[in-house]
Amino acid sequence: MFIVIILGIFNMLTTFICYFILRRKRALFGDRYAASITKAAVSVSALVVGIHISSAFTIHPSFIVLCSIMYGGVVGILFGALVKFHSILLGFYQGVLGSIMGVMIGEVLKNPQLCSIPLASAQQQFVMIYQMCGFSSLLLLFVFMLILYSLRV
Amino acid sequence: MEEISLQLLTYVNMLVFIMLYVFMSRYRKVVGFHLGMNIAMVTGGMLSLSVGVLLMVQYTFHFIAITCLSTILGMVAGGIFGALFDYQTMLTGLSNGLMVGIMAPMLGAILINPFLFIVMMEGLICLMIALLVISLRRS
Repeated sequence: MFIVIILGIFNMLTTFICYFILRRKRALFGDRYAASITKAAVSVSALVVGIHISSAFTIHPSFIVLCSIMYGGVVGILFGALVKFHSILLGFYQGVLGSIMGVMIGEVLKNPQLCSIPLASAQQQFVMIYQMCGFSSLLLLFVFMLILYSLRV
Repeated sequence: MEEISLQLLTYVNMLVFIMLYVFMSRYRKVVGFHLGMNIAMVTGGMLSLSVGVLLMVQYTFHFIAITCLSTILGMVAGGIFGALFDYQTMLTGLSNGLMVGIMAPMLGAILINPFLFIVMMEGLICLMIALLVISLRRS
C-alpha cells in the first residue's frame, strides 16, 4: 500500500502545480474557455484521487467519503474561481460527483465480492489495485498535459 | 447461440458509431459550438457504456483489461467527435467519455439477469441517435 499513497500525493501535487501555472495566465481566458477547463480538470482530478484514497486506507467507508468529498469541493472551488466566479457552481458539482464515483471504484477494488467479480487467486486482488492505480495516474498525466497544451492553441 | 448474438451486438454498435461519424462530417460547417459540445458528450458516453457493459457480460474474468479498453475507447470517441468542431469541445468530450467508461464495467458486473437491461440500453441508444440525427437535419 506504500506505492499507492506515494502515487496519490504525486497526483495532488500535479493538480496544484497545474493550478498555479493556470493562475499566472488567467488574464487570457474567456468565459467558455474557463468553463471547459474547469469541467475537464476538476472531474478527472477528483475521480483519480478518490480511487487512491479509497484503496489505500482501511478505515470506515463514511469517513473516506467525507475526506474525498472535501478534497473534490476544495479543488472545484479553486479552479472555478480562476476568472470571474461564474463557474464555481459547475466546478463544485463536478468535484462532488467525481469523488463519489472514485470512492465507489475503490471500495469494489478492496472487496470484489460486492460486485460478484470472480478472482483466480488470493494474490490477484493486490495486482488489481496496483494496475488500476497506475492506469488512473497515467490518465491524469495525459489529461493535464492536454490542458496545458491548450494554452498555446 | 447467446455468445454469438452478444458478440454480433458489440460489432454492430461500433459499426453504427462509425457510420454516424461519416454522416456527421458532412454537417460540420452548419453546427454551432453549443450543439457540438452536446454531440461530443453524448457519443463518447454512449459508446463507452455499451462496449463496457456488453464485454463485461461475456468475459467475466478480465475486469481490469475491460476497464482500460472501454476507458480508452470512450476517450478516443469523444475526442474524435469533438475534434470536428473545436479544441475545447474535444476536451469536454474526452473528459466525459473517461468518466462514463471507467464506471461502465462495474455496472455490467452487478447484473444478474442481463437480458432486460441490454434490451433497454439498446433502445435508449437508438433513441439518442434518432434525436441527434433530427437535430442535425434541422440545424
